[in-house]
Amino acid sequence: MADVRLEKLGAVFGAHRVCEGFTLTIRDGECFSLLGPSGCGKTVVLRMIAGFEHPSAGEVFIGDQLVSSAAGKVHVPTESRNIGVVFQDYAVWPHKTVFGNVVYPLQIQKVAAAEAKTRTLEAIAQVHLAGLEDRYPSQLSGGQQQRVALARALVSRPKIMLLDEPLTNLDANLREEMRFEIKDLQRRTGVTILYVTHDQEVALAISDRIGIMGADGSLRQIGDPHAIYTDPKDGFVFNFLGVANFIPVERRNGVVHIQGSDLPLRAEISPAARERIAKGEVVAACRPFEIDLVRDGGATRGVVRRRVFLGPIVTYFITVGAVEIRAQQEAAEAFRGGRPLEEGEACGLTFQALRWYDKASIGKEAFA
Amino acid sequence: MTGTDRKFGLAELLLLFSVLVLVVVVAVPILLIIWNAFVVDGGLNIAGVAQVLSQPDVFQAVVNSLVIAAAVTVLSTILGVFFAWLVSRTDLPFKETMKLLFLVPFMLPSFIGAIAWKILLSPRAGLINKGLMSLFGTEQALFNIYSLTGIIAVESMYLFPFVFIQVSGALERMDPTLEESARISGAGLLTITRRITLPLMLPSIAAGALLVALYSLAHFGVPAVLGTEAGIFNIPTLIYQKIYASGGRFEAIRAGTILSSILVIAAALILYSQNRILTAGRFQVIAGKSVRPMLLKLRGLKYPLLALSVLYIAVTVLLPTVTIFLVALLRTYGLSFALENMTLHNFTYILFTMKLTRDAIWNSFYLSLAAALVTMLVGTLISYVIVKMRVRGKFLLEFLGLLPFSVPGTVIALGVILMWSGKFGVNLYNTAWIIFVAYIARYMAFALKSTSAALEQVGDSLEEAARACGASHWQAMKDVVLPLIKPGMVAAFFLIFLPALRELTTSVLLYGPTTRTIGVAIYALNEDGETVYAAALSAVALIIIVIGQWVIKQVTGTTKIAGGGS
Repeated sequence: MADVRLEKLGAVFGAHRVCEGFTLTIRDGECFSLLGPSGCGKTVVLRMIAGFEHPSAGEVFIGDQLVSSAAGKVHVPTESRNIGVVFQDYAVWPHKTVFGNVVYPLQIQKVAAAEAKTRTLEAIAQVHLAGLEDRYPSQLSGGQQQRVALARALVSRPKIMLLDEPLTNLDANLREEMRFEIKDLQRRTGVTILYVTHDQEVALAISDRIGIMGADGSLRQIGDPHAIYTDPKDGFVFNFLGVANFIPVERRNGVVHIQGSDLPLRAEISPAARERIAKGEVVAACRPFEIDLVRDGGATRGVVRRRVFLGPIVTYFITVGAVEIRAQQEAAEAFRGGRPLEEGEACGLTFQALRWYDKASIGKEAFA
Repeated sequence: MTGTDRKFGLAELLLLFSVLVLVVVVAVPILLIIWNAFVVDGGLNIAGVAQVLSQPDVFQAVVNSLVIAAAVTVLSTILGVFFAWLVSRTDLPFKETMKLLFLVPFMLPSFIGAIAWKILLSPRAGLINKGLMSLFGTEQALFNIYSLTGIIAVESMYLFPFVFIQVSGALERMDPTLEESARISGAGLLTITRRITLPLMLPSIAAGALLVALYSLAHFGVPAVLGTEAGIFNIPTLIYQKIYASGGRFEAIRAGTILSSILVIAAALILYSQNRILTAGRFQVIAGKSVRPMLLKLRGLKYPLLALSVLYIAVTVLLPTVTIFLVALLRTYGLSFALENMTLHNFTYILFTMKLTRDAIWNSFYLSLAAALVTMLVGTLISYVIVKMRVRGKFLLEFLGLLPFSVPGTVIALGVILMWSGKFGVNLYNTAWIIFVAYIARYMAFALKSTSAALEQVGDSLEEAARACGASHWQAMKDVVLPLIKPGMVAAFFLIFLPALRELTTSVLLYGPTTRTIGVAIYALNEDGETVYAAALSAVALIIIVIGQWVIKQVTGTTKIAGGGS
């Protein structure tokens, strides 16, 4: 097994700069996710590690080996990097059977036939496809094809596995099942995994660590899933990890108001935050479930504009001053007493926690 | 796809090779034609060009080419659109069968068709003419196939599938909701056809029509068989006439290059407008899903229209084919088709005794085989570089790759004559090699089209997955790419092999005493009045074509018609 080190990596396509000064270490034996919006360049980073793309600057190390160096003109071809790659579109060869697909890396390595067969069957069993060895990909479901791709990537016992959105083309149930299996495989084999995705749920579920990329191709934050979820470094990360409220506030006569609201905002606000509010640099941020809704009282008051029943939860869009805030309640709680908040009804909101983020860090789409 | 950081890696090598092949085989011959046409003694010679063009025979040939092309285009378009509409938008019985039957004229070499029609409708000896003359007791032939009208009619018979294929394909893929929403708005079916369907089909119709125009403008076979006797020449037949009458004198070659330049410019214009029309029309019509369009109920017209379609096929395909086979069996041309006049001797004679035809069959076979094999392999390589590789300077190859599509057979022949007649150190004139080189240029477009389509189906990740599994670039190509594009390569092979086997236009300008091809032999036998032998050799060619079509179907699993270019 091995770690992967990216040193000041840059990539340029034509006039388009995909990323610049990208530095990251993926530790030996960990499952690391690169999480970012589509088009942020996360796939390009994976492809540079795989050797499919040439970095325009910087270096890539796998273990102790320098495999790519823009300055030193080093480029170890993909086939010599000892990696496994799983693609979004599976890339299972349609002219080979399941067995033929999975045994191929061993044939290339000229592993003796008997051993190759044992290892291939083992890998196929590992992804729960035993018995389907002679099928062609066209006779398999999408999930089964993706398992074939996994087995093929695993069979040669690579030092690292690169997974590029491998679950995006699967339906929701299969996605959940497969992400358990990937995690499980990684625990059993101890292989280093780089998992590239735009799906924060998958990333949170399977990763030891997550790196969040901004739309500009920069790394915004690295950390373990819990830390990154509970303590996002900036507004972009906060927004990317789940449904977010960004609440513009203003200070009038020394009192903090939600923009356009007559009532003061009653919440714990640190003196530092007050300072920045005064300068108009920050907005308040919270998740919908971090707001307590009551009919009477509350830290501030608003009017329910819309109520959406989603089964286990009820989501409300509430107008407070000039701002629309999204809040939610568990359905059981909302319907307790048989009288849920109605559209048009006034209600009180209490914020369990408010974070303060630079307006500039959020990106325009958050206010849409 | 990756190359390496070395300055000159595999990618660069393949690019260089591909560019070199296209430059030598296609680009230089075309440049030589244009150079020889417009440059004399190192200076631009517009006056000379004007002088050549104002010669009455040259001027007349240009006019004839234009008139024939225009008329054939109109006629083929009407036939193609009508039959396409009939098989895809009405409840015509046996539609699927009819659809296949309408493609058959495409397989028939049009010059063989022309020979059949000459046998049937020549003013003095034409079988139909004689029959009608004795029926009505007149001395005057009713039809004269040796005329512009005859040429136009015969060409249209065999070219309309270009339009038919384009339009029936588009009609089948057209989003039916476009028509349905018109119907919901209360429009009748005829109004819908006129106001919605037809305008939506216009790009496809125009694309097919332009293909016909391109093909007809530069067509040699039919005018050569039907026009020469009556002194009617078009551009390709006049080029042939001039070069052969003069025995290859420079004056003649120069006139040929000027006429060829006209063809090149016309072809470029036609392809350019076709491209414009197709890209402009792409946004609307096509909905990739399978659709069930509204079918017009023909009611009382159902069987009359079926009869008309069957009759059309019978007259344009069956009648000429049967005529060829019957004449091929005759002891002597002119005898009646009675059993006691029939013999297989013509077949045994041309297959086993006659040197001219034996040589021709052998020449055509190995030339087509070699050309198909080489063109397919080189075409695959070029397509691979264009479709799959990232390498600097690829745009050059992309441009060069367009050239083969726009060069008519006559032009290629003249180009290789200029290039390979010793002027540049290599003299291939009168050898089989010059025909081989010309075939590669002529059929490169087929190879590029078929193999690049196959390569586009192979996702990049399939090859990258092989690289990640430890396969080198070559191994990945051998184990993944090649097996996946094999059907496309096989198709390309046959799409070249079959038309090359009965090629006429190019080889007729290039053959030497020992290098006649089947097409040339049929043409020569027909010219020499050896009609029964010409018919027998034509029959052999038709049998080979049918077998070849069957093989294509077996190998590729689809009906691909190898045609377009005899």
